Amino acid sequence: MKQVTFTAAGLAGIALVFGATMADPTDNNSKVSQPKTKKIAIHELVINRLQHQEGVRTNPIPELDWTAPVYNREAVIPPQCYTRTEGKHNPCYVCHQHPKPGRENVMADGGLQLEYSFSDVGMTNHWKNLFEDRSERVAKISDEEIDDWVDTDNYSALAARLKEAKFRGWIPDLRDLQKGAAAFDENGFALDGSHWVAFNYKPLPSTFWPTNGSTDDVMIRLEEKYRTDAEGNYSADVYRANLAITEALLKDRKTITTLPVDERKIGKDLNGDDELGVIERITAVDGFVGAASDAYVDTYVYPAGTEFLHTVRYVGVGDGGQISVSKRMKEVRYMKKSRTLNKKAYKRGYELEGFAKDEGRLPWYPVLGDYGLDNEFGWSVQGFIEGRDGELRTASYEENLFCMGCHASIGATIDKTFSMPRKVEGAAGWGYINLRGMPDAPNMGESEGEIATYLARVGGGGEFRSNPEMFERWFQDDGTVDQAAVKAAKDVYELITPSPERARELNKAYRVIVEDQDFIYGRDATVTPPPNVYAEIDNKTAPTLPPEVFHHWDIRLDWEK
Amino acid sequence: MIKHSKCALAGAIAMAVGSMATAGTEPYFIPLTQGELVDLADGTKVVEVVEQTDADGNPTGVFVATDNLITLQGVDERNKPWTVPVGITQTNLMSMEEVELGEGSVVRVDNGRNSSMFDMLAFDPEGENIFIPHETTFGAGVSRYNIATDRTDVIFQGDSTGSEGFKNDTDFGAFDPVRFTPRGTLIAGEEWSGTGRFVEICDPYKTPEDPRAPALTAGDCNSDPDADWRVLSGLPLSAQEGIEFSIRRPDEVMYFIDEDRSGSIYKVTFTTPGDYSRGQTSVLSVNSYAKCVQSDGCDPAERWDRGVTAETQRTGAARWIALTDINGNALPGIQNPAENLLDASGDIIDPGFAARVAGDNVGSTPFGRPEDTTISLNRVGNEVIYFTATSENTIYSLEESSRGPILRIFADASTPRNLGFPATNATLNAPDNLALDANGNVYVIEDSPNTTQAGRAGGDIWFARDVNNDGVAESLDHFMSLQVAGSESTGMIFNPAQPNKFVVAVQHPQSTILSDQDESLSSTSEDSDGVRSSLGFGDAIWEFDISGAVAPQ
Repeated sequence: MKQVTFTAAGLAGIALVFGATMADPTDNNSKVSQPKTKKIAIHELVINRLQHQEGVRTNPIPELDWTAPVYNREAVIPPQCYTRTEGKHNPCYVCHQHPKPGRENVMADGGLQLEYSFSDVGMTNHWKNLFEDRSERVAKISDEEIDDWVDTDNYSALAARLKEAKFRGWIPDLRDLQKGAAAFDENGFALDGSHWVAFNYKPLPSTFWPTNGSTDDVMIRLEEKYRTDAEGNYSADVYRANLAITEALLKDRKTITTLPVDERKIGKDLNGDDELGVIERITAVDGFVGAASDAYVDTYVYPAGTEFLHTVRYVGVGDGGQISVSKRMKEVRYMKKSRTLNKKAYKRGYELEGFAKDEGRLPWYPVLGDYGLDNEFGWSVQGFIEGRDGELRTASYEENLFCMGCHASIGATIDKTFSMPRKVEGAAGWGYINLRGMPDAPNMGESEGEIATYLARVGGGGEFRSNPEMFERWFQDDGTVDQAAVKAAKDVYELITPSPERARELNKAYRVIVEDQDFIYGRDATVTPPPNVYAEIDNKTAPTLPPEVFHHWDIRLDWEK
Repeated sequence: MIKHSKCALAGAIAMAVGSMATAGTEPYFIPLTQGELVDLADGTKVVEVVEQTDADGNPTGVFVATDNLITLQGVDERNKPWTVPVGITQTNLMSMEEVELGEGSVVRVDNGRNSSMFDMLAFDPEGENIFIPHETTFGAGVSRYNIATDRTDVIFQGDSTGSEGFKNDTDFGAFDPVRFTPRGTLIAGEEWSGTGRFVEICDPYKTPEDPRAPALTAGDCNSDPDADWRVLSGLPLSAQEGIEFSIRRPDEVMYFIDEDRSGSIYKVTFTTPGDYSRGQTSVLSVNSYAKCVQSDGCDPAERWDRGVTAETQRTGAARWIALTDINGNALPGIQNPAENLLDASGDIIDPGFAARVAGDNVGSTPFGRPEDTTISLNRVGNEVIYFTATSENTIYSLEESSRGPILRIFADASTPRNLGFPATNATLNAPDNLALDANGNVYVIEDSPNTTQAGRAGGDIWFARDVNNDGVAESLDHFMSLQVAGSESTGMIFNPAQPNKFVVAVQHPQSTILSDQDESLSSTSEDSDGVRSSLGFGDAIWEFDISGAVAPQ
């Protein structure tokens, strides 16, 4: 069992608690005070221990099984699912979709756009932080203080702390990531030689829009054999080619542009021109190259060994009010695909999930110790989150369970991921995330910009329709989208980044949550409670959306439009 | 008040070796009154705390628990994974840890806690060997555990190429049922992975040096003395669960089921008795449901709980509808149940396995995930096939009467529990496997926990009391409760030679994943040192002895 480290004062205090109750029985003047006990819910003890935790490992109740002190057994249902749709506003389509031909994802939960199907537990909104008014506490944090906090590096020390704690899971191995783009070359390859590659992608509507509280970045790394030639030597050409092929397979593209690849170093004609030379488009996407030439190939899935590194950060406010990723990280998230399976196996996984739901079973995922949780679709999912002092610590079981809603059990993803399917296509998309100059590309099969479409379908700038800046900028007085304004926006940056003032408000609100360490109650950076949220939902009586606002939606983007 | 007696058991069970009792009995044990541990996860579990103070007596804000939290843990996977009635013992026979750290071999593929997936066990007639089918996604196989030598060996396995798709007969997926045949061979069936095949292992006692299919000799088990195995290619393809040979005509008739939300019940009458490679396949059609199909109300391809099917009676008089002729040739207008329809990529086209499609062609009656069968004789000597319908939370009994098949609800959620005994807080939830003791009592093994709050522990086993043997249980008596995280009970079966003993497997516990020292999703991780989690030992088989059960008076 992993141990929580209490401070020396804390441990000594345990004796003091009881010592203080001991009175000298011969001293008739002594006061006999009894320790005041009280009953609290076990998850409140969890929070209390998290507030006083030192050290990088998190296991707040080491006396018990990892899963025992869980407060919200339906933590896989994110807060956004409790939005009041009022029978017309549909943000649900972004997650809940019917299966698309050929995909591994056959969750088939598109129907959840039109009906509620919560378990008994899920019908109660456990995300208590949505109902907390933080305005008073936020007001006490100055802009300087929050800027200082946000500009502090809490990433660099993490690796050493984990090694000291003999952590066996993935240890951050991308140097200087806190610096953002400066940690990579112009094509996104990490400068430290770790083979992580950053890519540019459109943030998923709308929780990951900076205007709603967070910035982020995502990096991918393929397994060694996808980076080496047939002789086992590292080859940039092999790696670039296999990255492009991975993207093409994931998106089911027959051809894709690539960073320049020298076919002569690979020994294969990859663009079908019967010559070997330096190319910028690959048409031979039906197989990998180099040492991975015999690796399993299938569409809509990543090869085994693929890793993702995803940092979730505050909204950085730079000189001149420029919005960017912050230095401080709210979370560092990591997932690794240990195996890839044929699509029948994935189908079975969804079948089993459906059977479990039929039988009323609540979500449960195997614990892999330091490797996080097994999403039972081939991925291990682990994370680090801020401790009270802002240092990153490992996520608890319940904090990790929260990740599984998106990375295991919704119908819209491709091989349980969001960012790569939404990567700027091909060669242009290799490089650190940059919303400037990024067009509001429509989703595949649609013609209008994704953000423009989202705003219209949702009736606001987020699932809770509680973002005043988005209303002000992109909506008319009658509540409809100002299409002209949206179309006139230069880029995605302009559409979805907040003002510096709002950025600081959101940062302060999140800071309060960090102070409280009650992530199990929710992580949304709200200053005041959003109005359009249910505290309880009755599957049978809660208003649902009519069929005419159901939307088929493809997470992939059409960058050519 | 129930009086207890230790001496009533011998008379109560009176297990006759080698004979088939035809009537159920009263429970020979005192039923349990509680299911798995109350789960802590709903957050309402409270603990008593005090607030710590510093040297000056000022509160520090740190809470110290005064309750002994460790007592809330409770589960001892290594020594006592089940709660059992008083007097019944549980002994671990074998486990993945034992095999993998010692001699012998057991099937393991690289798939997290689903790497071995012990499923429905089978004994040989002497009760000396237990055959373990492995319900793995790919690389499925069969292991054999010899009780006397305490040794496990893999006797047959696919080559694991199925991880990339099952394109030929070198790999297999999800062996669920396995049965010792009347001829002394072993039949295993693929459930949800693979292509729905039956595989016959010619000599279940042979321990090949390389048990993988390509290394063995495929051939006719009946006529080729060198043959090690064969695919019974003339038999129907379905999500196999629950193979049972007829009692009255063991070499002629076999029953099997299709695990699907619109799954049906099938029977094969072999062309040549004792040759299991082909025969006439029939599917069960309940008359009341058939009428609905004929009037275009019911769609046999529909799920049991959807549309008009959900409102249509599916019990009562029934008949077997032939899908093939006696030689296994599909009848006109009916999909060949031995030939899956494939798309251009070689994947099976919806709605899936060929037997399912064929059944739909003739209007077979759908059930909600049939998951196991067992077969017995009733008082008048008719065969009764029991099968679970997991999604329906129901166990059916199908009597092969002289007037034709009659289907009844044997037990469901409305069946009284612990009738005449102190109540239990457990409820019937997802009945999966079935077992039969020598007295003709049926046992129901769940694959799901009791309460919607839990989701961690492995569910219960029920004794279905049918003393009057009318095919409808008077009570479900709470027999056992499994409490190992992330697991389920599978394969309960009584020893034919020692009818006071039965075995059950614990399938896919979290501890199947190697090592909590280096818990990686991949068992082939370079860092893996193969060290087992201290909390458990992976999939395992447990033996229970009921001879000491304290019987109620």
